Amino acid sequence: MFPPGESGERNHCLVSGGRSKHGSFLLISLFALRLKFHFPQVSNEGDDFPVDIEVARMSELVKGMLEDDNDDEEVTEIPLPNVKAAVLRKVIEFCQHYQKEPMTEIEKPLKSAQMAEVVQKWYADFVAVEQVLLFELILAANYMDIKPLLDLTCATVASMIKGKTPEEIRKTFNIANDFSPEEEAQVREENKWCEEP
Amino acid sequence: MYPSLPNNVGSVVAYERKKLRAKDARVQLNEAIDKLAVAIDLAGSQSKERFNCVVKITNCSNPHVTTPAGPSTTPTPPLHPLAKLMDDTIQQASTAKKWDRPSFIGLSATIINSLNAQCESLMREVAELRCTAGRDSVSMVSTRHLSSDLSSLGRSSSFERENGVHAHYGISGDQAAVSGHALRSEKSDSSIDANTTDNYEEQLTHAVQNTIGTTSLLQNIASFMDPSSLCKCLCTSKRWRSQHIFENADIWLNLCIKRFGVSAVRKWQDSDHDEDGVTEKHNDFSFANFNMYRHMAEMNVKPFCPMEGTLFLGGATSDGMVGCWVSLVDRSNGETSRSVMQKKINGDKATESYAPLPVVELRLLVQNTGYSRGVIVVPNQQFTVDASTRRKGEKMLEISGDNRFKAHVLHNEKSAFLGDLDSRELKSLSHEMCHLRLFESAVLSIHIHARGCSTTAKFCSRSKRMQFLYCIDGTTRPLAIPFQSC
Repeated sequence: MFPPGESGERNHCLVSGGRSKHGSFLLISLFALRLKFHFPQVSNEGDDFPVDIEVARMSELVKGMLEDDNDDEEVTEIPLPNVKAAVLRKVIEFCQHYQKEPMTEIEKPLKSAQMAEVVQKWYADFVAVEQVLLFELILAANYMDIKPLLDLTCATVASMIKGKTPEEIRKTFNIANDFSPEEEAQVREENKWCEEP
Repeated sequence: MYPSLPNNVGSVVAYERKKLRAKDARVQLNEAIDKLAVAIDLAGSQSKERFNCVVKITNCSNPHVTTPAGPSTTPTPPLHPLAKLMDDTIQQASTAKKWDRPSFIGLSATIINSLNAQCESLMREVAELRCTAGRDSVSMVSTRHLSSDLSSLGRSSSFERENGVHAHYGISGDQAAVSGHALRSEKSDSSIDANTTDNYEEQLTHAVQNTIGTTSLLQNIASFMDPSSLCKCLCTSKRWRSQHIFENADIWLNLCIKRFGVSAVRKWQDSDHDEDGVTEKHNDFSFANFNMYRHMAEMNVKPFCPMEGTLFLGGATSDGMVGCWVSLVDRSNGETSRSVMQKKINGDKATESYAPLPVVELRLLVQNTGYSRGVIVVPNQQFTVDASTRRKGEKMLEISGDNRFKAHVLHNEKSAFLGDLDSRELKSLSHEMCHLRLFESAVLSIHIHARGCSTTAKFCSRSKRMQFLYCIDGTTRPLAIPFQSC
């Protein structure tokens, strides 16, 4: 970690995130080139998390913004209306760890219902969170366009489905059963060939 | 008095019908009895294994009573109640006579009872263990300030979010077992009003709806699924069916290739299978690969394997979970005679000598074809080839005593990365030849003592089927592989 306030290194950029009416946003200062995350709910002054520029560039969205927005403005604002600060913190945590230990590619189809058996331990622990955060991470990864995070979270959802009955799947995803009883019986009969006992 | 003509004709037809029905029933009965014999055999051998295990454990836990272990010498201390029950089953199974049907059926009832007794006894043991373990873990939980209330899960997490505590969301094995998802946080106690729980529900519904409402995200999730999960998703709702995500051609092509290999898939595509596809439910193009997988699975297509023997004997599948194919390694002269080391024990000294015996090498290709939630274990086992005729039963056994002819794993197709959990799991499965994850395969080499078969051709004509044991979720199951007549 770099002490907050230290500046002038070219390989860092400043991103401050805050909460406004629109949700969280990132402020990227191209002048300082340090990524800084600002969490107003922690303290009034805000906490700074200097982040390596490579970490920020894992997000195709941020990367694109940094490349396109090459005007001389000091601060570029990237609004992330759908990303909460807590989720953003998790995203940064992921990206930082990814630089140290890249995630192995998750094999398709999944070979196990345990994430620890398909990916390194750190990543398996990372997604061992409650459902709300998991789905919010998927949405954030999708919006910010971070492929490894998207793969990891999607694989986790797929592993949750393993061994569930259609009824349980409906419950998990809150889907209405729009089959008539006869239709459902027919569909079940059709798909009987690949049932696991 | 003779019956009138039409009556007579009617009775003849009825008689023929009865005869036919009786014939069908006989065939079914024969099959059923064969299955029963296999099951009883398995019950006996598995009981024996459990018996040895229990004896070993009880000897370990009571170091004072050191007796020469082994079921043959009656140990002086009283047997563990479990071991006694298992011993009963072993004795019963060994007296099974397949040809004496009335006694055979009676015996199977006895064996079912004694297996039940074993189960119940085991359940008691488990209950006792859980009691003691429960007491330990409760004290552990209270020292660690873990919230054991499951409903507090949502509340404590939203609390953390609101207060911005830098929290580690994590589940650690033993704690999770006690308190569901125990959240470790730097600030532990929380007193929050009830409406945050509603808030949590709302957020969850919102996040889930947004995720599965986005086609590309659902597609991405589906791409990690196994065939069974995909089929189940197809059964959930019309909306999901109409989105054409779970029968996506790329996903199913990938599944085909992962299971059957590129060469088998290409061969299948080249050969014309469309004739029988006319009756297809979904003539839709989008279902093409889905149907290809389904048909190949139903045909139990053998994945390509270069390690196989030259003569294919037969293959079988069990509930779409395990596929097993047997082939024979033919020698250039077609003869079976090999010199085999045999040990003879005369008193104290063992003498080794070589003697010619008829030996055939079989290659077993085993594949996990559909069990995706864990591993399929191939336990150490005694392979036998059934060479029974209608008159008498005969089994050909493995060559024993010579290490060169020991059953072993020639090749095990494995995925590149296996996590930490794997090694932990392995420790408990000590007596295994190999274990297979989804679509993984292994080739086993076994040598059978082909009694009375001087050539491989003779062996082929005499052998009828072989038995293979596999283990899913701790339960050992048999799979009979019938041989095609060569």
